[in-house]
Amino acid sequence: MRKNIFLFLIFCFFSLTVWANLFRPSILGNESLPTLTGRVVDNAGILDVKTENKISAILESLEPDQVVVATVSYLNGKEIEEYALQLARYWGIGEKEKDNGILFLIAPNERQTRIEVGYGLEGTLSDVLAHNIIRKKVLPYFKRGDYQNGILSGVQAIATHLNGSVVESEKPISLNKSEPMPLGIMIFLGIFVFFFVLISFLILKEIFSSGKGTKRRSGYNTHNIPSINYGRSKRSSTRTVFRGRGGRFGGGGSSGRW
Amino acid sequence: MKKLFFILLIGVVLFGFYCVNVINSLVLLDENVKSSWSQVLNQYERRADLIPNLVNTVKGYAAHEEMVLTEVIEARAKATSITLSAKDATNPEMVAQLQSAQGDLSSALSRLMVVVEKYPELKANENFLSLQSQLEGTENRIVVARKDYVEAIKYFNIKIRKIPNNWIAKNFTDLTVKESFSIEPQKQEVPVVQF
Repeated sequence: MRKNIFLFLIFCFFSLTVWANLFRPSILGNESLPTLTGRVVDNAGILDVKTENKISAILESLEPDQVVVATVSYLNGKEIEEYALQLARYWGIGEKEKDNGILFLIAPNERQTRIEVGYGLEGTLSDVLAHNIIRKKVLPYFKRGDYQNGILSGVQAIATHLNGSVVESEKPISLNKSEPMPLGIMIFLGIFVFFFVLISFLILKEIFSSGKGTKRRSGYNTHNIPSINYGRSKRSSTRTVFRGRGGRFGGGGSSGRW
Repeated sequence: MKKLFFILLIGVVLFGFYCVNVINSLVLLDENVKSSWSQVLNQYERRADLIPNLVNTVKGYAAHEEMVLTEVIEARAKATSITLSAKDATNPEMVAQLQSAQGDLSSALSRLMVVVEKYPELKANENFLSLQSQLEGTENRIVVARKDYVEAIKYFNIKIRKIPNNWIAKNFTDLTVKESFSIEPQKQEVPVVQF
């Protein structure tokens, strides 16, 4: 009995380390970044509902290119170039293979704005174009304090330039390190690994049992194993959540300050 | 006794799989370091390509600013003369040389931009504005590329220094811990005041 417990503990430890290693925590320090709740994330509260809907509609029409508009109240002491890049990468805007994402970020309190362009769209929306959009279509409104029309105008200009063509530019090898793992999948995998190890333990135990006629039933009865509970049953899978699709960013785009 | 043998055998096989996993991860991370480095070099080159145009445009309006313009041209020549392949990325001396030369070019460019402030016509020139935004974009990309490079090295080093990965790496690959270079920010021009 003691040997069985010992073996069982070893397998538990093993499965725990396997499970733990599946989820390496992000070293990037993304805790204070806002959540991607939709195409327009207005955390600074400068857009009214009507304008937000108008912008959302334009952005949706740009699919499969993923363009997100975000406003923030604080840049956490960073310059907008650094913040926008971190946020765009954290949200993973754009499709994984095409890197066709754009983040239009506005920080009204720090008076900085930036259009961050993903690798795949750098050819279509070059730095110069992004700069011109900010300079000519956005800043004139911002300088007057009119954020709504400034953002709307910027979005319209971006939409005008994005005519679907995705141009290949320099892309590094992707390293799968910034994908956040939803809790449900973590639990599911944990349970899966645990039961996998448990079942293998039981099978091995059967193989090694000292032959026929073991009256000592150690209490592990195959009929008692409950069916594996897929964590997904708790979440409504019909709700389509807007999320980034793994697009990558290299620092392209342009900023504006007023 | 036979039981023990089987358990050990399974253990060895599992460890074998683990070794393969580690080696393959290290290969991927190593390639990532190499490709991030070539990104850094790409962006340096991109910046160097912008400069001749920039210099000519400025000359059109500020021909008398010979000194600054010459500085930029010379700094660019020096920076482009140092070519580093991905292999040389592990040679700290060569990398330091490259970083230094590129840093000098950055400083020369900042000085040029300061001078440009004196010429409002130049500042309003569309061609100049276009070049300026391209330059700003490239400078930003350089910052990002260097950051990604340092991070790539970090991930590689983390993986290779862990146990038992370090043992595995030493005996089955020729990969070693990479030196992470302190990538200094733009060299600040400190004015020397002579009394």
